[in-house]
Amino acid sequence: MKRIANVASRIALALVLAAALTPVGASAQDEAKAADDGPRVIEVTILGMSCPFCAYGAEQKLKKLDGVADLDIVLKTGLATLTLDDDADVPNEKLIDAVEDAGFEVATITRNFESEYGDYDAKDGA
Amino acid sequence: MPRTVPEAAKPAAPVDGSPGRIGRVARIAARTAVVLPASAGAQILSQPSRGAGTGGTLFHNPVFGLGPQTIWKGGFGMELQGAFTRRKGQLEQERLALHAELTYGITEDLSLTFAVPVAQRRTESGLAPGGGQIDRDATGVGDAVIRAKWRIFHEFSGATQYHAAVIGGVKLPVASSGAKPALGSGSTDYIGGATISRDGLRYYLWTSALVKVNGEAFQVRRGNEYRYDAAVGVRPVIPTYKGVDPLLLVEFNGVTAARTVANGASQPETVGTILAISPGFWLTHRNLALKGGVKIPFYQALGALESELKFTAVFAFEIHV
Repeated sequence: MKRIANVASRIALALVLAAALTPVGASAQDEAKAADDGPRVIEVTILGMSCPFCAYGAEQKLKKLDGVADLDIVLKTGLATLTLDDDADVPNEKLIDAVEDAGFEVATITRNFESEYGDYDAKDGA
Repeated sequence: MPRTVPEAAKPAAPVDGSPGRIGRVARIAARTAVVLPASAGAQILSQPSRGAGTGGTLFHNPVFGLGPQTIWKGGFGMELQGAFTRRKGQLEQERLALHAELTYGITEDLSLTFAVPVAQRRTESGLAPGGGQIDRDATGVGDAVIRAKWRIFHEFSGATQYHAAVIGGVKLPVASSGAKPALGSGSTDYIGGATISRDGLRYYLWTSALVKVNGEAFQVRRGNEYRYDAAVGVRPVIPTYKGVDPLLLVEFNGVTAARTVANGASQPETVGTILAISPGFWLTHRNLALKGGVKIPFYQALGALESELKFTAVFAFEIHV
């Protein structure tokens, strides 16, 4: 019985030490690192894409932007996923202009990497 | 003294198989002060919308009506459309045409379209009033149309769009009006109208109203045409971006024509209304589209000099680049 108590206390001590030695925010850093290791992705939520035939215009406009390597669109959600070249980024204004030139509107813009442009939400304009 | 028009533009004899109607039309023709060009009387109401320069299947418009959809800024839309129309009135008439249409997006809200029947064949056959058989046909280009569409309103809600557009255009008489039968009206005509729609992943709704103000040719000014269309389109399945996207349509198409004026005299037997129902379809894959439909009249109230529309069938291929 005493031996079991010793083992349990050692396990508890090990867990406490492990927790104490783990830096705060490590999970966020891990996520950021994972993102840095993977491709840069911008997600643009587009309003008004009611058919693939008309959404083709959005594809044409977005694919021509500098730094865009690939593009995928999901009509049901209006989500355009732009995969960028290494270290590339696209300003929000250019994304919005491209979508509007195609006849649609942007609802949101989000990135999976640190960017000087930040996220965009049409509801608050930033 | 009545003025004359080119022989080729004169109408054919009233023959529709109905002795009563033949006699009536013959009496009316005899009373008529001038001879109406073929394009002024018997054909005015029965032109397929494309032939009259008011229609167009481009870019998710209904097959026979019009919608407010515009192409993206800097985009080109090209379409080839085959159309076949059969009419019966004074003569049995058929028209087989291959239309070419090019649209350019000046902005995302303003598009410019040039359309022309690059090849058409018109035939007329039946009995002449004094006896004898008429069998004639003509082949050539049709009248060209330049029109602009300006999207003046749009509202988005998720994937759904609500938008409205105004349309203006001109039909240029580039086709031969002296052919037998005439391949063009010989007049410069103007088109104006408005259209609204609701576009969604599940279904579409359109409506449009247009007027075609006809110009004068050979001392004859054909009556203006008023077109009113409504359509609903339903998708059997929600589309995916890179998949094939089918859509089934049912359209209601109406046209009413005012009186033709010839040598200053109004011609009461040139008025009329045709109402039609038109099943159709779209099948699109990315930037390619196939579209088709058949316009079937269910109500026709026509003056004696007008021809009844039997049907119009349309099949079109379209590409956007």
